[in-house]
This record gives sequence, C-alpha cells and structure tokens, in this order.
Amino acid sequence: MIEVSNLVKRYGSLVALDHFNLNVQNGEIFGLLGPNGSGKTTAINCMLSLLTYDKGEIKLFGEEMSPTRYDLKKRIGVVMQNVAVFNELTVYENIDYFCGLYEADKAKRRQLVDEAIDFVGLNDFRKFLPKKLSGGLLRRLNIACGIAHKPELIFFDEPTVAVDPQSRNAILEGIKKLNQDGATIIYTSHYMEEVEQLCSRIMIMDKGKEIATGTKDELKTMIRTGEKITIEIYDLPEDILAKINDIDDIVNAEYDDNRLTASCRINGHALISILDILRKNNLSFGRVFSEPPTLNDVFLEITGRQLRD
Amino acid sequence: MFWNMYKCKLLRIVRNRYLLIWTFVFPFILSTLFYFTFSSLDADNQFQAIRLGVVNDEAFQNDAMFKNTIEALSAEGDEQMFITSYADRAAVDDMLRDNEISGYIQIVDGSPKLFVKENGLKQTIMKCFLDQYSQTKSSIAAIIKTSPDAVQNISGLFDRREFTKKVSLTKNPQTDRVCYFYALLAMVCFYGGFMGMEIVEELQANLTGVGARRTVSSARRYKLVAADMLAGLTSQFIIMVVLCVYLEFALDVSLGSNIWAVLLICLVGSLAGISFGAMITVSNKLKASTKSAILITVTMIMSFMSGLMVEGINYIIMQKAPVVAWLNPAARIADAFYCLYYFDSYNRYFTNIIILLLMTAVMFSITVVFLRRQRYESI
Ligand SMILES: Nc1ncnc2c1ncn2[C@@H]1O[C@H](COP(=O)(O)OP(=O)(O)OP(=O)(O)O)[C@@H](O)[C@H]1O
Ligand SMILES: [Mg+2]
Repeated sequence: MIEVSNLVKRYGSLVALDHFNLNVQNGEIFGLLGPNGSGKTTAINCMLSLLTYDKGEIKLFGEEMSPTRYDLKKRIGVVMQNVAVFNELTVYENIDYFCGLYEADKAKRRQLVDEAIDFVGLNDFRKFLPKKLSGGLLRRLNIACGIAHKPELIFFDEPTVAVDPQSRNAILEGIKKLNQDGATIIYTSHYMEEVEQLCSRIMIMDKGKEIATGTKDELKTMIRTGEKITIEIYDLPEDILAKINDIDDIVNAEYDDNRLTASCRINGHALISILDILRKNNLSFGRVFSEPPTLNDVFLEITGRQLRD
Repeated sequence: MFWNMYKCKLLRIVRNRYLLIWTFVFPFILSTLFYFTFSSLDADNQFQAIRLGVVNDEAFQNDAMFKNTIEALSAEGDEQMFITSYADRAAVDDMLRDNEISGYIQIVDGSPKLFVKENGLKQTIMKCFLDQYSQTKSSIAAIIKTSPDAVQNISGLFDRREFTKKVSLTKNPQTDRVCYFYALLAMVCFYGGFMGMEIVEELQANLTGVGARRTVSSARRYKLVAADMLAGLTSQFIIMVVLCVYLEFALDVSLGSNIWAVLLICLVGSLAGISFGAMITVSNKLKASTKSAILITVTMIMSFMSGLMVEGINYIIMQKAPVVAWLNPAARIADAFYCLYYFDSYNRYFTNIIILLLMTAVMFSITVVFLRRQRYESI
C-alpha cells in the first residue's frame, strides 16, 4: 500500500525526516508513534505530495505519488491534525462539499454523506454551523469530511487531540470499523495507549528517524526490560538495595521517595526473590505493584528520554 | 462537480458577514453619505431657478415668440428655469446692480441680448439659453403655430440640467460631483480584492487547512480555482450592479444611457479587483493581516488618485503625471464611467477598458502561476 524509502526532508537547516522508511501493507492499521516534533505530520504531508522533499521515493498503491496523480488521490482520505472545515457551511454542507470533490454523482453523494454523518454520530447536528459545535463534535466533523468518499487508504493525523475520553473511544471504535470495512489506516499519535489499543503494527519515531517497527509485542521484546515492579517500603538500607540489584533477572533497581522500583529482564521473574530478601532482613513493606512494559519503556530505553514530557 | 463547488463558494460568500460588510454594506453607506453631503451643496447651485430681468419695452412686447418662450420657462413647476422680473431698462439696471437678478435681457435690433455684471455659472446658463433659443427658433415657431398648449412644449426644448452640464464641462472638465461617485464605484471594485484574497487563502495548502484538504483531494486544480474565482466574480459583479442601480435610481447619480457599457465596466472592474487581491495574497509570504493592510492602503491610494476625496485630483494627476494616471486601474474605472456620462464617443471608454483588461490579465496570470503549485517547501 505504502512504500517510502530513504525520505529526507529539511526545513532550512532542520532535518525533519532523516532517511525515513515506511512500509504499510493492505488492511493494516499502522501507527506512527512519536513525541511532538518527531516528524509525523511532515511524513504524512510528504506522502500526500503537499510538501517537497530533498531525497527519497514515495509509492502509494504501488505507484509513484505526485501532485497530479488525481487517480491515486481519489482513493485516499485525509483527516488533518488541525480541524479544516468551512465556517460558513453547516455540518451537512461541509461533508457534502468535501465529498463532492471526489464524487460527482449527486444521488450517490447524498447517500455517502448520510452514511458519514451516521458514522460519526452527528445526526442531531446536521444543520449546525461549525462554531456551534463543541471541540469533540468538531473533530468528528473533521473526520467525516475526510472519510465520506469511502477511501481505501486513510491518514489520521492525531485525530483525538483535545478530545474527551468518551469521544476519543468513539473515534477509535470508528477507525476500527473503517478498517474492518476494508480501509488501510495510517494513524499518528503521541499517546502510546491509543496506538497500543488500536494498531496492528507500530513504528516508533524520533527526530525524523525510525526507531523501531513491529507489533506491540514484538516491540516490547526488543528491549531488555520486561515487567516493572514497584514496592512501597518505609526505609531501605543501601546494602539491601545492592543485594536486590544483584538478583539475576533484575536490570535495574532504584529506591526513591519511599518506593522501590525494579525493572526485570524480559520473561524474568524477580518479584519472589525481592520479597524473599525483604523478609529475610525483617523489612516490612506496603503495597506491591507489577506492570507489564509499555511502549514508553521501549522509547525510553532506545532514546533515553520519555515519550511524553 | 464544478457547479457544486461554485454554488458552495457563493453560499459561503453570502454567509460571510465580515466580507459582506466591507464589500457590500460599506459602499452603500459611503455613497449615501456622499449624496447627503453633496445635495446640500448642490441645492444652491444646480437646481435653483435663475433670477432674470427682462426689459419690458415695445420691442419685447412685439416679439411674441421670445415673450412666449420666456413665459414658458418662467412658469412655476419642476421645469422652471427663470424667475423673471419685467421692468424698464433703468429699473432692471438697478436690480442688476443690487444683485436682485443675475442678468437681464433686452431685445436689440430684433434679437435678444444679454446684459450681466459678472461671469459665473448662472450667467453662462443664461448665455446657453440664448444660444439654444436662436438655434431652435424655427421649432419654436412651429410649436406656437400648431399647438394650442404651446407653453408646455416650448419648455421641453430647454433642459436646465443639460445647460448646467455643458457649463461645467467648459469650465473644468472633471470636477463634476458625479466623479466622486465614479471613484467610489472604482473603490468598490477594488474592495473585491478581499474576495480575491479569501479565495486564494482557501486554496493554498500552506495558508489554510481547507486549502490543504482541497489540494489532497482528487478535484482537478484548475476546477477548484475556476469555481471559486467565478463565484467571487459573480458576487462582486452583483454587488456592483446593485450599487449602480442604487446610485442611478435612489441617489440620482447619472451613469449615462448605455446600460451594456455600464455592465461591462462592472464586470471588468470586478475582475480587476479580485485579481488584484488574489495577486497580493498569493505572491508573497507576508502575514495575512499585513496582506489585508496592503490591500486596503493601496486601494485607498488608488481611489484617492481617481478622485474619491479631492475634487479634480484625477484631472491634475493626468496633467502632471499621465503615466501614473494611466496605470492606476481605479482611475481607469472611474474614467470609464465618466466617459459614458459626458462623451458620446466611445474611444476613450474603450481605451480605459482595454487598459484595465491588460492589467487584469497580468495580475491574473501571476495569480494562476502561483496557484498552480500544489506542493510547498513548508506548510
Ligand atoms: N513549516 C515548518 N517550518 C520549519 N520547521 C517546521 C515546519 N513544520 C514543522 N517543522 C519542524 O519539523 C519537525 C517535525 O514537525 P512535525 O510537525 O512533522 O512533527 P509532528 O511529529 O507532527 O509533531 P506533533 O506531534 O506536534 O504534531 C519539528 O521539529 C518542527 O519544528
Ligand atoms: Mg503533527
């Protein structure tokens, strides 16, 4: 579906995309995960032929993409990061207009627009002007305008920014449904939970570069850290901490703010060993947590930074 | 597809309050203000009957034709040209000296002769009247002979407004009050620049989200551009026509008698204004607010130079710096209207239209070259 190879894009001296590669298969929900400014939007705009680039090749549907490939554009839907609708047109008119850029037949279009309105749940707001819509509803309108023509390939650029959790879930469910109906989806976000929940494959990117690509499980096995253990302890002497660090399956253990946090090796089981040591030394402890690794841990381990600051 | 885009753009223009206030409401308010300012000034000058003295001697009493004509033009009513006092020579001389009359007429050697103290508008009108009288003597004779209702018909031969027009033409060809309104019409055309500005902004992916959305769609670029431009032109043209109707019928500003020629200026002027705004917007990377500031400033300067605020400034510029005058599209629009009002020959009118079309072609081409681009260095 999408083949991007060695894409380089500079804004003046800033390198926004640095030999960026991307391969998306038919039927996937592909997630682009990266912190603010990592180049997600830039990558999408290059693929859409909105931006010039310095080097590289972009193929969509197996063919070279260019601004005049209207045949390819017809099969693509785009939901931009910023809401882009006409303020003077109502919900219905907006969707009809943008759908009309792809579909000339009036009767067909009416049906498509109705379906799109149903799909995003704006039925009660057909005659509303955008300024009368709440932020979440506006996002939904933005989505409807991008997907009404039933494209085969849809780009979603952070469609859930500034949306309350309820609307967010509705949007994510909708995207899943589009995918079930046959659309291939590119989804960008800096929310790892979203990407984990939604995407069949994920690329983590930073500073215009691909850091890692795979399913979420594949990504998690790429790193040394597995399960993460947190134990509340009132007072932990240095030598005990050293002992805990000596356990085979422990990658790193720290004590701070009355909490012991320890990262385990993948598939390692250190919890019992830790609790053994604590008991032997007569140290009492409070609650114990254990979490599986997140994509943030993946990002952290590769870049040394948090995904979100 | 095309007509749907066109229709939606029209709808958006109609619903855009900010745009409509500038391009539609503002010109109406301004022209109405002009009207009330001028009508109080005009009241003394143009539309008052002139106080005339006639030497009431034997020669006058014997000249039935002249006597009838004077009486016809002195009859009270809308067409009244003179408020006439009949007296002997010494008495009218006194009245002239005391400024009770603007001049008097005496029949000398069988033909009327005008006596005045000073030269001015009223005196020239009286002179015009006498010229017209001697030219149309035969018609008057015919009327008196055949028609029992002679008085009414005679006054039909003398149009006071026509005299006034001729007089101001000989004085200074471009200082008529109508010029203000023509300059105003030119300004309105260039306020259409806002329309052009918005069209361009909404088409450029690097300026607006809707621009980006439309650029990534499968609609052909030229169709997008053409649909919006045509809708902009349609609405600007309608605004111009409505304003012309308002001027002609409500404010009594004459636009000449050739309606097609007036429509042609409206069309070409609208196109020029829109292209101008589009070109300013598309051709540089300044901020949107800076662009509208440029648009307003340039429009005001051009309108000023075509006579919007100072009477006759366009005339002076044409004398002192003809190149500037010819290259000012607003002045060309105003002058085209002026030609229709004053001249029977269309030479100068068409020269204006052709110059406007050439300038528009240049501006439009520049716009299209930029608008063809769909891909940008940065968004
Ligand atoms: N028009 C531009 N001119 C100059 N630099 C730009 C421009 N647009 C983006 N950049 C820079 O390019 C880099 C990538 O930006 P981009 O918008 O692609 O990031 P992103 O991953 O989409 O971020 P976000 O999550 O905030 O949307 C950033 O460092 C940004 O500052
Ligand atoms: Mg972005």
